[in-house]
Amino acid sequence: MHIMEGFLPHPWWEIWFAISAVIVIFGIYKLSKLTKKFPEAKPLLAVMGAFIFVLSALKLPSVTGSCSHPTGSGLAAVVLGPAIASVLSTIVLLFQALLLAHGGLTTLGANIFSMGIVGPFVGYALWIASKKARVPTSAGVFLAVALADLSTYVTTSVQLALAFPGTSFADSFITFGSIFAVTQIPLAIGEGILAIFLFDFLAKYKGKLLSSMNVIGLRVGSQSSEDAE
Amino acid sequence: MLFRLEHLSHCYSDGTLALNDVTLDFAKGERIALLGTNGSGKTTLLHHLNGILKPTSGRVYFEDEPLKYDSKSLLDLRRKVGFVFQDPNDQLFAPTVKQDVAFGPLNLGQPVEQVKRVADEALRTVGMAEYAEKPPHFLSLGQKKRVALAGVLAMQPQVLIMDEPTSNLDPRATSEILHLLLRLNKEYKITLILATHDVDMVPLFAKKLYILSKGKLVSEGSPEELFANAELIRSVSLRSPRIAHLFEVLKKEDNLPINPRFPLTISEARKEILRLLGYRNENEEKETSNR
Amino acid sequence: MSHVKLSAEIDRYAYTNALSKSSPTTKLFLALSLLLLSVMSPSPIVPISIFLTSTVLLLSFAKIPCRFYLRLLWYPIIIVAVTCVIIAFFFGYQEPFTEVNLLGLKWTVFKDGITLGFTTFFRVLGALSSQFFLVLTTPMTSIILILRKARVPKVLIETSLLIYRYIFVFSEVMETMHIAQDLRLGYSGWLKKLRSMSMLIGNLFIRTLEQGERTFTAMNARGYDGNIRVLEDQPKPSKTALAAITLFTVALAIAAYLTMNIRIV
Repeated sequence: MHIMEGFLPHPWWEIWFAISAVIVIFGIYKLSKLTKKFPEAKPLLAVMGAFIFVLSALKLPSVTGSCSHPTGSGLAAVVLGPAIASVLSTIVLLFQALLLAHGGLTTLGANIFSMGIVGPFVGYALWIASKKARVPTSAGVFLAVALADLSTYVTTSVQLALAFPGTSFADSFITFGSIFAVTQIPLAIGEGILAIFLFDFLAKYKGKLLSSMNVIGLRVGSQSSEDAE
Repeated sequence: MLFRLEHLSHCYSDGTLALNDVTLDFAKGERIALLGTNGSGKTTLLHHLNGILKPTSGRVYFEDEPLKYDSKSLLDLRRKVGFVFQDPNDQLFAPTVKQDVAFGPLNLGQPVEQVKRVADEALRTVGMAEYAEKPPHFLSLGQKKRVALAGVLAMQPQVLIMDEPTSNLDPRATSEILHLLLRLNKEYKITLILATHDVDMVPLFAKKLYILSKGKLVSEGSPEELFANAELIRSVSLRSPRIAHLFEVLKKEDNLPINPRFPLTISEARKEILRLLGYRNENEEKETSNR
Repeated sequence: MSHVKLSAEIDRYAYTNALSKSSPTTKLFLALSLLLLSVMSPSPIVPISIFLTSTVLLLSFAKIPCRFYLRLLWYPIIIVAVTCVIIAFFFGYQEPFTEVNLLGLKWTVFKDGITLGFTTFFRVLGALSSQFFLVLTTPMTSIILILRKARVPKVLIETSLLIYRYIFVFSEVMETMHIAQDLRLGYSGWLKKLRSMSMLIGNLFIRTLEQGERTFTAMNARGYDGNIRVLEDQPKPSKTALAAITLFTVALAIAAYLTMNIRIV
């Protein structure tokens, strides 16, 4: 769910740019430390970014018959951690704006915040929490991915309601939220189920995944696939 | 010797023994082919020549010096020993053809003007100059292979290593690549080492042939010598070139008095047929050197 | 899969349009100026003139086929039109304009709502058309190189260069796999679709990791040391063009200021 180019008025697009910049700059700092230590991380992260882009261009069948696409940010967060996921999302969103005319340049900041920061962060937190609570893996995956999706759309609604408050912020939020809910709730469920299948599939290739993840020195990623058993 | 491998073994982290005690020499200026089935260890062997892989045991010598694996020595080695990968998509990573070709020379620390010059020249050599500003995804596979080759040539190597240079190419692109390689060997005196399982291509290209099977060096010699030994060829799950096979059948099934060294290429076959038919070719001496 | 094809088409136009040889810096400067003017403009007059400018530049100077431009434009236009109608109906509260009978209910439409809806619609239209101007006339490569010159952090630039390349490699792989699955009827039924799709994505992911390793190896073989060096070989921007754009931008900015208080109703 991207906010279209030009939709956010001044000063809101600048505000979201500023907020996202702080987090993305932190991510860039972490990323350059990582790539200095492991030169092989650069091509590996790049192919992951390309993967997220291609994934986002994939149409996901949804129950209502309308089509939308998976965000992939949940997966990226679980594998890479939210900070680096936010940097990759930034690049992917820029490519979507420039190569698909999908989402915009002035709205980039707002879209990074909802898709590249809130979504991954919520997904990641739920993933960790569900493992602590010993929830079955498939339920944990479903919750993390579906709620990462939903949190992205709630954030987008908040962003729009702040920019177009009308009589009151709450009314406006409910209006935007209920419009999106029609497409986004079935989509989130779809992507959640998809993630369960995907996780099953990837678990079979654990060895390969583990070695690649260790290459980029991400203990979080390797632990999570270990615990998946 | 240009390269010397001494008791080279390589074991991957998953436990596969890909190379098992291989000892061999490669001479300078030679056209060398490594022949073997998929999984015979050809690629693993090639990866040792340019320092991509370190031997698990054994040693690699380049110009009589053992390879060192610190980054400076490796950069030095890679300037002299170029490697063209089997899948050009692995190699072409830059957004335009010219950017990709310039990557190697820039890494060697050459000044920008010189890099531009060598990149253009390399693209001209492979016949891709007009595509310099295009992104690689606009090209066909054959064109991509040529660009990948240009990217290595731009580093002006003495040795060119190619992994399956003709795989998946159509006949025309195959013959273009082959002619290009022969020209590089002749004009620039570049030593060529290539891995392949294309037995029909080998006699057209190689002066020296090494046969690998299951990680071991099975045999070495000229293509004529090795392909004459049909038993050996079959034991490693390969076959003779089509032409040699035809003559083998003619000899075995029809008892024609054919030379035990079967012809491997069209020009050799032509000579043998003319001999059988009793024609005498006046230019025979000349043609032998022309193959 | 149509999105993947769309990116390939946009990419092709960026390299082949009639303006592809002119300085990318000039085009980026023009596009960003128009974009910012559209977004900052308080009234619809300036965005409308920006929309017309970009459209003329795209169709008659860059020679982008009209059909393709419309195809890009119609989908966002419909979405934004619907949204703006909603804004017009529900978001005003100051001066009643008219009442509408809808679904048996009486809705009051306010003047400020209508103004907001209109302004937003044209602001998006102006901004979209300037975005399309950039996207369809300037190759991604040039944009990345300009960002590099603008001192965007190196990691970001280098990763972007690689991502650009591999987007097209993976799109091809994905399309092939998708066709292969489709032929074996992997896409009949909703749950089956999701399962097939998850396998496709999983396979692609594994391929991705392998590709990352192989690319690293191949880069190593050509002396990669952790820095991706690139040639800079771009046409220089002409000072006259930059000055003309600045002048045009300033004129539009003044127009935006003068038309600030125009109300639609």
